[in-house]
Amino acid sequence: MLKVKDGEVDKLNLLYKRYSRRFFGFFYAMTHDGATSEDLVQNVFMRILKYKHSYKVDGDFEVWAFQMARNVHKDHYRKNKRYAFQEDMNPYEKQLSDSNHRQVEMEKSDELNYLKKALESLSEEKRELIELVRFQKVKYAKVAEMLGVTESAIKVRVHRILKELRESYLKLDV
Amino acid sequence: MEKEQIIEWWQEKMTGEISQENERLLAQELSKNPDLSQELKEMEQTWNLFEEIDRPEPSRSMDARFEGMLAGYAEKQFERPNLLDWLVHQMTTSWKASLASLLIGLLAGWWLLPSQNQQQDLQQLSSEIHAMKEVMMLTLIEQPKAQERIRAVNLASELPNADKEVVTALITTLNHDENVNVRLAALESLVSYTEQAEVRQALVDALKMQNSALMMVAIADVLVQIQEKSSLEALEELKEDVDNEIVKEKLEQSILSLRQS
Repeated sequence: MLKVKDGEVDKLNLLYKRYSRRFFGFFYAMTHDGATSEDLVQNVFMRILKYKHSYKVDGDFEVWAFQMARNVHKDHYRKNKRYAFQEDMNPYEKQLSDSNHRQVEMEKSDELNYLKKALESLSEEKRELIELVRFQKVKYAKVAEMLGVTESAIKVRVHRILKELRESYLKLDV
Repeated sequence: MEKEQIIEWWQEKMTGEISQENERLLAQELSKNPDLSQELKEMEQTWNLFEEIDRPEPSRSMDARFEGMLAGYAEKQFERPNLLDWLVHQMTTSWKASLASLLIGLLAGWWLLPSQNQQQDLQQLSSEIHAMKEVMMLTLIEQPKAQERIRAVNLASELPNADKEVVTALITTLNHDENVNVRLAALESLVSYTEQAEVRQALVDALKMQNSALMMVAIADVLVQIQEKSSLEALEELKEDVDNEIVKEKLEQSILSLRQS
């Protein structure tokens, strides 16, 4: 990132290779819309170029970049208020269902579907936290830095959300 | 040991951030607390189930778009910024530059402002034009062609502060011009001077001078419009004298509306 900051913008390619899939996953978890998520990934990298001068030498790129992604999502959410209108999701849905079609996996997929539903019903903030910690595997300390709270607070919060998730998906299972 | 601490260790274990020492302590604590141990085991199940959730992949076009964006950006970087961009950038980023440009603008404006002499010249010029228009109007109104006389009358209505000579000329035209159209035009021009008492009187007097029904009706309309009550007597007289039934009726209406107002 420091090289990008110094004007070697082609080095952004490396960062893109390392982070674009992660950002896509993050946005997909937040918006459930593939096309929008791709747009937002693009926006993040455009912002990285625009604000490259604000990146600190001793800063952590993962924290900085995910902070940027969170802001991009917030802006998008503010502009669109809610995701009532979703663009064509078919190609992504298809990708998801292809692996689920085998009979053997049916039972497991039931449980998974309940968990997915429970995840979707979480509030925006909680979903973001689970996404960062569990799926993006960002360390607690870094998430704490992003959110401006202590590491313990993050751990307790994640634990509570896990509890809430488990309770709500077990309810669905009944 | 507090429950919170145990939960924190457990969270660390889930993400692989736990130290060996803490892992040992966690196991020790959980063996003492079977309820919490059971709860955390169930939670671990949920935690592991997340792994099974399919995550969609982006389409190939995302990469292509990124490459396009990056290439475009790099190209733009190599372009030499032009003077205008530089100025706009300076002005938007530095308050000193914007203040300097404001001062330059003010000075230039001050320098370009017309001097007092110039303003006097302009005033003189406009009064000369005014005088010329008056002379032209007075000349045109004497012309034998009705068209020319109408032009003269129209010119009169363009003069903002017509002097007495112009007004008199208009009144004379209203009363004596042989052409009805010219007389009508004169009446229209005179409407803009009805603030003057003598113009209003002239309109009342003009009623008697007209022999055209059209003019009578037009003058009666103007008198109603300016609410000239002193014209009531003249209107009554005319109503008695005139033979034309339509004009009679019109005059009657005018008298009525003047009385009611």
